[in-house]
Amino acid sequence: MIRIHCPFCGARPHSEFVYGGDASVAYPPQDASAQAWHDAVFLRENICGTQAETWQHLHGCRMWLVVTRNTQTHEIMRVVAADEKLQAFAKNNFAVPAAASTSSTKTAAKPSAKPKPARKKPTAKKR
Amino acid sequence: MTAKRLAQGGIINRQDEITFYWDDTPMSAYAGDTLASALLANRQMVVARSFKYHRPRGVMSAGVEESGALVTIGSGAAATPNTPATTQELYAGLHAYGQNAYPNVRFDLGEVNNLFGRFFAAGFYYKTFMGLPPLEWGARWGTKIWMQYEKLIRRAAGMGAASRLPDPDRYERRHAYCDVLVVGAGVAGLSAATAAAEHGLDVLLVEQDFELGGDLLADDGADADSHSELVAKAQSLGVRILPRTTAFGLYENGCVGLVERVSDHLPASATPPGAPRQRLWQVQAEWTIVATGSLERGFAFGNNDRPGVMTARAAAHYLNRFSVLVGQEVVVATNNDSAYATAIALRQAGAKVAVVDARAAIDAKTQNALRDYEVALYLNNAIGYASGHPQVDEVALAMPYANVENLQNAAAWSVYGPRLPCDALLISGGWSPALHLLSQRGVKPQWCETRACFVPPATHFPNLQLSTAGAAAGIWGREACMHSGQEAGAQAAAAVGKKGKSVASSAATKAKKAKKNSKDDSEQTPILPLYEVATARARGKSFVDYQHDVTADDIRLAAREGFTAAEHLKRYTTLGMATDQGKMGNVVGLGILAAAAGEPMTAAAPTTFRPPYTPVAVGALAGAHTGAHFRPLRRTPLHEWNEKHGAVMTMAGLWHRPWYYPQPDEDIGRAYRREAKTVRDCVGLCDVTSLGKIAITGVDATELLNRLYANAFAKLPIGRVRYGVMLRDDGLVMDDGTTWRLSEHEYFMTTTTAAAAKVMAWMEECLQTRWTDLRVHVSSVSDQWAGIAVAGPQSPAVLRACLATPEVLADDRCAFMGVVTTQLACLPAGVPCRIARISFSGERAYEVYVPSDYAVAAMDTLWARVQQAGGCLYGLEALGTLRIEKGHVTATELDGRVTMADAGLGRMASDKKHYIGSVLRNRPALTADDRPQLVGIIPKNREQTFKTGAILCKPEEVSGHGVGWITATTHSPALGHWIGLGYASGGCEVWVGKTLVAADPLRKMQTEVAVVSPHFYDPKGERMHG
Repeated sequence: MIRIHCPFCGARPHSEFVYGGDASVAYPPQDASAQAWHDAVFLRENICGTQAETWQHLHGCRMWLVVTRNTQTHEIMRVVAADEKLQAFAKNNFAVPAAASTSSTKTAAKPSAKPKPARKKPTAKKR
Repeated sequence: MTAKRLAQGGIINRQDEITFYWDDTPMSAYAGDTLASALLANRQMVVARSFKYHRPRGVMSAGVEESGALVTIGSGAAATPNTPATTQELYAGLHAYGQNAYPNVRFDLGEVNNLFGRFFAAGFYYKTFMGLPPLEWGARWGTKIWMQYEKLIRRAAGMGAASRLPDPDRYERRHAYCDVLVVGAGVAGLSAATAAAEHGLDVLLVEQDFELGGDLLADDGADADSHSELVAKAQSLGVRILPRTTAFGLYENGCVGLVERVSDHLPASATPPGAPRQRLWQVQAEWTIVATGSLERGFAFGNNDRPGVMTARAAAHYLNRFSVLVGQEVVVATNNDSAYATAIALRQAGAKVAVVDARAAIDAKTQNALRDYEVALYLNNAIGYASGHPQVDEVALAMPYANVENLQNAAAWSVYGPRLPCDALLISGGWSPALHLLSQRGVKPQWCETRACFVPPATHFPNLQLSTAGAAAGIWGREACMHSGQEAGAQAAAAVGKKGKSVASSAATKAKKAKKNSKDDSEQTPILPLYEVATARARGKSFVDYQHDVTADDIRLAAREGFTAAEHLKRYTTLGMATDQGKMGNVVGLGILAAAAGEPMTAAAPTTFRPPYTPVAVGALAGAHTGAHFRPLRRTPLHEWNEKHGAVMTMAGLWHRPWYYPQPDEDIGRAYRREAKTVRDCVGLCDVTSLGKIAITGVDATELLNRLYANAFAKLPIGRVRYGVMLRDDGLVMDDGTTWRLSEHEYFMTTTTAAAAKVMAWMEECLQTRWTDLRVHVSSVSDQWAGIAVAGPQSPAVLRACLATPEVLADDRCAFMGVVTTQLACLPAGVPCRIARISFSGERAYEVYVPSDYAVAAMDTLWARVQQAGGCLYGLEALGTLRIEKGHVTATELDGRVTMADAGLGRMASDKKHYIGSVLRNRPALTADDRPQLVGIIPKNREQTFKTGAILCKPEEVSGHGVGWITATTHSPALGHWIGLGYASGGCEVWVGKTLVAADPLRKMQTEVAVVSPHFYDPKGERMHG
């Protein structure tokens, strides 16, 4: 059993998550060449060792995460939100920047904090 | 004379005398007995027949390593074969049966195999029956004949038979968390658990036996106090103790699998209501301490499997725990000190005892004790062979030749004459730490020359959050085991990092002090490694793995044939396979292999052990997930309403959906035709709640849809609906559905039932990993909204009659592909109702969505109006008919292998924008002319039919993959004959006017068909626009 430390929910068994794919792939712009799209969609390294992967906490907060995992030992080195804006947000204990938002009060920084506020805040921040 | 129960002693409950049945013969024993001790107490020496040779077998051990007394518990559906009698706790009314024997284990006709034993060496069947004419004539017939032989062979050789009936027992699953999990409640385990608990840790202690204490249980009464003191202390510190629980597997990240035998030890009448048979625990432990002890092994000599032969320590268990004396005349054969205590205890209990020790000398203290107790001692001796049938009655002694350097060598031993009569032969060939759990986690054991066993390379594995203590770590002796347990407990506390209570430090220092003072006094004279007493002229077979009838000769044969690696040896000879997992025979086998190969044991590496440590019932792994509980069932809020109105339900994915609504005397065929015709002629209602629904809000919602959908979405006006197709990155179709623009930044998307979850996750992936700049929020509202399709020419009239403001349906406000948010007159004010004028049936139709809580009220109102209009309810079958007549695609056609063009949707794809899949959909292979394309299929002879799944072939070439396939069929009431949809290479244009054959080899059908446009009915769509 792999344990994944979801930045929003805490450590959870991997059965709550679904595997996405290779997180190192940067999907090209939609108007990129067929070659660029071919490479992004079909070419994969079969890594024996450390690999960055996307996982979705499907049966939890539904957030997409980037998980750095050793494919040989299943050791997990790092888990962050796939959305970089949320990385800083999680790091900051889900505190809403002072300049932003009127709607949400500061939520306590608990790993078990409900996912919902975490998902909504980035939108609030933009506004 | 054989085994007998003594008048007193043991920890059995003599007040509680119980009756059990052995091969249907009633027998008497006590609560606290195992089946093995009860059988011995009832003087049943032959309790099983061996796997291959059908040799008589008796009880050989007192624990999980048992390879002899494998029996079947219970009968009929609840029969559990291959249960070690040594681990089955006795209960009143238990029925146990001998297995792999006819007519019974005491007299088994199959024993004739034993006479031909010399032919049945390792690999015999394969060598003999495969590739040998006339049993195998060439490649074509040979395998078939081998298959027949294999059936016979499998029947003759084997274990107990599993029931073919469904398992009547209940199982459940539980998750648990703890700081420290201690496996094994012997001295080391109890000490470790206590030490960890003293540091304030949450400790879970599991023990496979029903009594705690492990090897302590084999000690005589004098030590009982220290035993109960240890248990009491652990309990007082709040250690959670699980007896009858096996830790069968250690997995990554502190995940441990346990199986708790909840009611295997209870008669059906005493089982608490609702209690499962077994409970599977998935434990998440911060730290695990493996204190699984060690297993005593024997050594190989002729007939070392005769009933009456068992491990020395097992006899001590039977004597001191169960008060059963295993024999009156006992020979103890050993190569180490551990058997002497047992020998003296048996002598004290009244048996005549002789000890045969392979070593040349032992310490004087022990020699004196033996003299005092009148125990005969034969040093520099071993057992040459045992004789007697069915059980052992005599042993012949053997001595090594004077100039022999290595006792393991072939013919190193000479049977020189003396024979000792005996009815029990106890063997101690040394102790093997139970390393199975460590091995599962990748710990590679190494050979320890001085202790003659494989030991873990360390006791502490911080990277694995794992440590080991006591005999499992190769530590012998009570004191030493206790200290190693205490140390492991303290180390675990330090690793887990909890602050200790005050007692902690004192306990730790005490442990340290004690360690300094203690001396391991268990081994006065070192063990002399001995794996086989190989004599020049062998008498009887020398067994290494009793469970699989693997002999020392088999191992030498394997070595001669080049299978000298442990992993190869295992697979060639079956040594250490299956339930046994090498508990008794592994080290002996490797010793014989090393001798045959002329290599030292230090070069040997045991095979990697795999979970489970002991067998786990498949039922326990499945838990409650059986039958209807195997997968979740989804019901729409209209489920009961549908059933009440006569719906026959069917499964669509996880959903239960109405299939058809039969009137009296109607079968499915007549029902769906009537329903479809009624929709075309009048009006029908259908529950479409199972469609996926996704709310999309945000300033960039339009942009998101425009990137996801292959067709244009940028200019969809508010109040309008658009049918959209989504592609995957690779350009193939992912899903289709409709999207409704409710306001400037608010959309409502429907997906197919099948792809609802996939589309939702896909949108989240896009927003969170690719387009993080888009300000959009998506949420699944599938469960929030109930959907009802109102279809047919009368649908506007029906709907208008139900609305608070019927004028919203006027053509200028809700034209074809329009959406309005309004109110049903029957629902409380403020309850929204979304109505979209869209049509899957090809008729003028609406999809009406109301909040799920109001689904029944809305349906009641609509149904009353539909009835007045002369309409009907229609189910999935009629829905299918209507859409096939129109050539509308579903998930059956959009099966993940088709492009938009294949599905006839090619013209929808936008060439004015880029979207997901827009680049790769133009790959040459996806744009080839001969790709399978959506077509309509009708039978040449309109009276005939064909089935979904049939392959479309050219008439002159009805074979292979053909030129296409059929995805859907129905009888069309509108056309009056069978029609179908399918894919044909090149599409309509290629095949129109030609005959194809719908070949269905599995159902043995062939129908000549014609290819037509998939738009069978009202191709211009006048009816739905009308």
